[in-house]
Amino acid sequence: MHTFEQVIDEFGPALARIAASYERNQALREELQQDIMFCVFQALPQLKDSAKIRPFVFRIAHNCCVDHVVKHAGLPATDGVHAELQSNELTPEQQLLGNERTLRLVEAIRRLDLPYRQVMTLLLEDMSYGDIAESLGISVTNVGVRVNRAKIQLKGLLHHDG
Amino acid sequence: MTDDPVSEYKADWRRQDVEVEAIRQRLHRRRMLGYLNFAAGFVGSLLALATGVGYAVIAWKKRDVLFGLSALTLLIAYPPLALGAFRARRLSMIWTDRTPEGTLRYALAQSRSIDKVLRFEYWGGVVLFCFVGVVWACVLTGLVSDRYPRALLAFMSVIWILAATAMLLWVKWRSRRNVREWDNCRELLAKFEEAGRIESK
Repeated sequence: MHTFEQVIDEFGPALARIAASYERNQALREELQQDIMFCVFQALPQLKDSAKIRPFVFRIAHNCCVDHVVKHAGLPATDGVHAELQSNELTPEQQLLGNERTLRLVEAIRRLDLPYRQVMTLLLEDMSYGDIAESLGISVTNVGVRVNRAKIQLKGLLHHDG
Repeated sequence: MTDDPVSEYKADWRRQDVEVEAIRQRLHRRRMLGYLNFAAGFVGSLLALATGVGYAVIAWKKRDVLFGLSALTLLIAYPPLALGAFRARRLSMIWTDRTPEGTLRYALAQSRSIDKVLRFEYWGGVVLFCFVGVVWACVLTGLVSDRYPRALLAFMSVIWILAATAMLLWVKWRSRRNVREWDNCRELLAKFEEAGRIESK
C-alpha cells in the first residue's frame, strides 16, 4: 500500500509536468499542482489494487485538470508557438524549463486539443496504451487513434513558422 | 508506426525542472487551510441557524415583529446556502470513478446546481431589501415598539442594504462566470466526442 509521501516522491514530478501542460500562468499552475495532489491525497484510500497506482493517479490528475480548464476558461489558441517564442524574452518560467526545445514542446502540447493533449502527456510519461486507456476510460483502439492524431497536431504545431 | 519523434519528445519533456519539495510544503498548508475553511463554514452556518432559532423563540415569547422578521430572514436564507456549500465540497472529492468526459458532464450538472443556488442567493438579496422596507413600514405604522431608537434602525438598514447590494452584485458576477463555464463544458465535450470516434480522419 502506498503512503501519500511515497506517491508525492514517485509521481510528484510527473504530476507537475502534467499540470504544466494545462496551465501557462505560474501562479495558476502551482494552484493546479496543489489541486491535483490534494485530490490524490483524498482519493488514495479508495485505491484497491496498488499495482494500478499509475493509472489511478493519472486519472485523478487529468480529471482535476479538466475541471481546472472548465473553471479557468483555458481553451488554447490554435495559432503556432513560434511567434510567441520569438516575441518574448525568457520569463523565469522559461528559464526554469531549461532550453528552447523543451519550452517549444511544452507550449505545443498546451495547444493540443484536450483529448489529444491527455494521451500525449501520458505517453510522454511512459504509460502503455493499456494504462492510458484505463486512466482515461477509453478503449485501447481509441488510444491509438488519439495518439496518431496527437502526433499529427503536435508535428504541425512544432513546425509551424519553421 | 514509428515512435521515433515520441522518443525525442520524451527526452525534452523530462527535462522540465520540477521542485517537488516546494509542492509538498504548499500542499501541507493547503490541507490545513482546507480543513479550517470547511470548519469555519460549518460553524458559521450552524451559528446562523442557531441565531435564527433564537430570534424566533424571542419573537414568540415577546410577540416582537422585528425579532420575528430577523428570524425569518436567517432561517430562509442560510440553511440552503450551507447545504449547497457542504454538497459542493462532498461531490468535489469524487474523482476516481470518472473519465474526463464524465468530469465534464459532472461539471455541467454542477453548473446547473450552481445556477439554482444563485437563484436562492438572488432571492436572499431581494428578501433583505424587502426586509428593510417591511421594518420601516412597521416603524411608521407603530407596529414596532418605541424601545428601538430610529437612529439604530437607520444604521442597521444601511448595513442590510449594503449587504443586499453586495450579494446581488456577487450573484451577477458569479452567474456570468457560470455561463462561461457552461459554454466551456459544451465546447470541450464536443471535442471529446469528436476524439471518441474510432475512425481516423
